[in-house]
Amino acid sequence: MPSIAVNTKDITKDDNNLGSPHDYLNLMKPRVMSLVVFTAFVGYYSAVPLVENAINPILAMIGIFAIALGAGASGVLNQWYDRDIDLLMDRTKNRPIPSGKVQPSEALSFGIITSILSIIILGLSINWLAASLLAFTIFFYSVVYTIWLKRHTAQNIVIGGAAGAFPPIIGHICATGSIGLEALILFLIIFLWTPPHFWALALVNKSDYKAAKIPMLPIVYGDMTTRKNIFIYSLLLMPCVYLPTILNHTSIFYAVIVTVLNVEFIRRSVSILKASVGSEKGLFIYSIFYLTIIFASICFDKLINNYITEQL
Amino acid sequence: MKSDKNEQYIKEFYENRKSKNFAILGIIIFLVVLFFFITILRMDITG
Repeated sequence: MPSIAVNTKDITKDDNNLGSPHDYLNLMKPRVMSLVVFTAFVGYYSAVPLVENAINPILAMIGIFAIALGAGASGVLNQWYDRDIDLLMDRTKNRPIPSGKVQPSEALSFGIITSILSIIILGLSINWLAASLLAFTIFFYSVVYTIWLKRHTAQNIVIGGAAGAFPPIIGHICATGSIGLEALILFLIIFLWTPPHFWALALVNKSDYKAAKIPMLPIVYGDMTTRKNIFIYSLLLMPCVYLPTILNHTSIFYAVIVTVLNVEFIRRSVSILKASVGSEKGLFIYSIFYLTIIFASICFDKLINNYITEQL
Repeated sequence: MKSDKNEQYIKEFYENRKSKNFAILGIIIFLVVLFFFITILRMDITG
């Protein structure tokens, strides 16, 4: 028998719901974390050759780990606050809290501790500018988006999308120690990419959002307005992805890839506008592919440029 | 019957608490190592 005394009469079935490590990992939204790590890494890598006294690469990797931890903490706090509405939606009802695998109080403690840890690790490994920005990102996602915007305005994901756009800026700071124009361009790309991506998902899962009374654009203003907005944001996104080439941060190689991707994005946006069958899910999946390839191309372009520079 | 069930919960409670404590210990050790490396790298003694 363990030495620490516990009043065994007070032990109930709920006390045993401590959750497995896998449940806690799921609580951190690992898919979102992987996207955050990827975009932060691109922010880091695209800035590496810019300064001579760059931050130690191992410290930078620890910094990116801290960003991932911070993103996971935001996911935990988001799931803690949204546990009531998660239970009402098919897409989210199996998450660790609504399914009873993790207790809400445990999740809240875990989220707060992980948030503080991620900020401290980033502050100590990189600098306190990066740590402050990570703290602001966690606050923006957990409080501004989750508590203030998500349940109160149809523009929730437009403003809240900024939270997902901060990681490349923090990644850039991990490389240079300061905020640069390259990072702001990556921020803009993710910021404008978010509305078409999430509104396409909202069109697919409309009944879910309606059941949970979340004021997503299709619920409040209808399908047609959402389709028009997806198209408008897609048009706004298209020129922005050329900014890295226009400002000489990437070569023509990147511009060619972006052009091919843009043509397909616009084609799918037009399909959404025409309300073609399956166009919503098609754009949602394609938008993930689109962002991944754009960011990978920025890295690849840098890689080629570095190789050419070394050869010369 | 109810007592048997309660004993089962108590047994599970201690098992779960033990694994949770080990997990926390693992995290603390990881953080100690991490902060050690951060300190060394920030001192820039590697060259």
